[in-house]
Amino acid sequence: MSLRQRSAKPSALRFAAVLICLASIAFPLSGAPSSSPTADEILAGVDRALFLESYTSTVTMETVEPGSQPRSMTFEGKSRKDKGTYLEITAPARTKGTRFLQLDGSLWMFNPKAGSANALRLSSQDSFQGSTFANADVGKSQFSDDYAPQLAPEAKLDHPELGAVPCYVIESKARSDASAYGKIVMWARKSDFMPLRMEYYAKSGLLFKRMTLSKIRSFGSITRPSVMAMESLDKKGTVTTLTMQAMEAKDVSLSVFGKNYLTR
Amino acid sequence: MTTRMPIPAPATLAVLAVFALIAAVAAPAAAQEDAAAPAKAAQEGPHYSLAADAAAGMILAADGLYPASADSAAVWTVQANFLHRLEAPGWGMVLSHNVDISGQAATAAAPSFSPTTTVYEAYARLDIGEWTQLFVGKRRMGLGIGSTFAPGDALDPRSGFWDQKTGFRGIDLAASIGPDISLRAALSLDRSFDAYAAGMEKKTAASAFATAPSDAAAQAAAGQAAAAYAAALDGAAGPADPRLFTYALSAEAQLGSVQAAVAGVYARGDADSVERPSIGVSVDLSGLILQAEGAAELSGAPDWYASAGARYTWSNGPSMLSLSADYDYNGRAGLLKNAHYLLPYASYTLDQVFNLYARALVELEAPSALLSLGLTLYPAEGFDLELTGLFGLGGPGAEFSSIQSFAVLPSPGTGVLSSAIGFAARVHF
Repeated sequence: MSLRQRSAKPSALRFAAVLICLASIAFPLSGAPSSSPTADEILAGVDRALFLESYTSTVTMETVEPGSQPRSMTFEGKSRKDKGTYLEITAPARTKGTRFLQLDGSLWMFNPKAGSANALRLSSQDSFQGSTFANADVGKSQFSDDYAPQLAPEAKLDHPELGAVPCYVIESKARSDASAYGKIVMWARKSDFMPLRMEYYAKSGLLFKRMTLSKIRSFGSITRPSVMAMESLDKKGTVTTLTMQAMEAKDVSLSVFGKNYLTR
Repeated sequence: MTTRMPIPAPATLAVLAVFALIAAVAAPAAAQEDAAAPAKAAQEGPHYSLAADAAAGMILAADGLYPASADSAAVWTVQANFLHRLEAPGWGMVLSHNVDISGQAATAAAPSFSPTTTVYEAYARLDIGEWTQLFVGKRRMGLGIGSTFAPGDALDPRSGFWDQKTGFRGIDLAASIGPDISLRAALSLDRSFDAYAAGMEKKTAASAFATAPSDAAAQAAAGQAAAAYAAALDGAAGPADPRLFTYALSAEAQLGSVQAAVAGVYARGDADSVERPSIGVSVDLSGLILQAEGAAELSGAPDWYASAGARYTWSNGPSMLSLSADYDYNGRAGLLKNAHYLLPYASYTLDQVFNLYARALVELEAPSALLSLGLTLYPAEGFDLELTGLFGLGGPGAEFSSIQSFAVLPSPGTGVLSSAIGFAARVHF
């Protein structure tokens, strides 16, 4: 074997190592975006960052508004993508046990303490329990079903917790009149599509709510913002904050997403 | 208003004891899991929960509240409601009951208390596979689409005018075909249980008479009692006689914003047979919920039942206004005596501050109305102050000119009881 032949192997290894380094910069192992992701890829990334296929959760909701005492509520939830969300209030005592079932196109409420055996149908566009969230927000398990995204110019988001963060920006328009909002503008962190801000527009085109997502933490198989603060822009100082206390990937039984389970 | 069904104390105690035992076993396990993992949702073992409230107050009933007269009386009320739940993967148990120790007239020299326990629901649930659930016990069940009037619900019909139910005793099998279609089959043993219990009561009376066989009068009385026993038994051979069962089948489908339901109830009998098919539909028009339902009673001379209603909820931050109006056509006298009724309802809630509601059941022919008003203040977390009023409006003899059958005490005077006002403080825990 000649000297040239002997030295070829280390050289090839070095070349391969350089290629791997370059590739890892261009295609990070975190599943982060390729150089120019499409709007659909970004929205899919946002969905992946926020929701699991099937999971249980414990969420606290607190609404603060000028001149009123803060209102707090805790839920236990079960969600399954493409199926819906089931919620049960565990606090405060006055409404403890009240249940909600969000299915495609409808929201049902059942209060087992009432004398009736019937679940009450609610409109998905109404406010959820007096919060700044709409009923439709609460059961949301992915945005891509209801909204069609378009790319907007990238921007640096001035995030209250993370500082200046380079973000992709997408404008997602309602696919149908049944959607709760006319348009949602989303800021997703460029490195991993983590959603950090969402702005909600009414069907009239009016910007009326803004959500800031923060406190990114791991819940087992998912790392996501644990705090989502929805600020009402037409009622200054009114903010509802959802805090994810627990979230666990779990195979939620399909039977949960039927009215029989709601009134069980 | 709740229909009270006092049950024998030993049975009540037995049911409560079973739940207490299960709760005692389940609670430490749940607590340990809580300590190990804050994610309560992740619990796999039985999980016990209790939602309860206790209220103390007073009801003032009067033949006519104004001008104030001697024909009025007050009743102190003390009661508590409990909802126990035991949930585990694949099964669950529920006990919902009330304990009432309301006193008699406060003006009496020695108030006599009559504690009453009412079991609203006591049932066990078994999940069979992903989509099927079996319920056994006493349970409230809604049949059809109506949330105010339910024309087709002859299995567990409402016991009060505001959609209250006492529940039925029996078996209920619920199955779903995906999330959008649900099927239900129910078997009620109520008629069989009631007939058997009435028969046993008559039989006991007959036995008492038969202890003096030499007395001809007693023998005759015993014969009459035996005949009454047979009549009361209504042909029942035991506490669960299939000839006295009531059967129900229903199917519901969700098609986007439209919901449709068909149901049928069947029971054979001489005077109380039921053959009641029904169909209903509900639609959400951008927040306006519309619903309509129709039913036919085919046993005997056919009769028709129908209802139609609309509901809208407007909310703005902590404010929520709910409005609804329902019309009911009642083809055969039952809980409602006449044919045409209207039930308007309005409720306004300022979250954590107060709720104000007004509703009226209006009988359109006579006419007369049952008016229910309420104001609940929320001065502190888990603490309510309630002011309620129930008024019968109508001329003499009209259906709702009296609220006698809904009040907790008899008319204090010789007139018709027309008004009741209640005040209560309630604690939730």
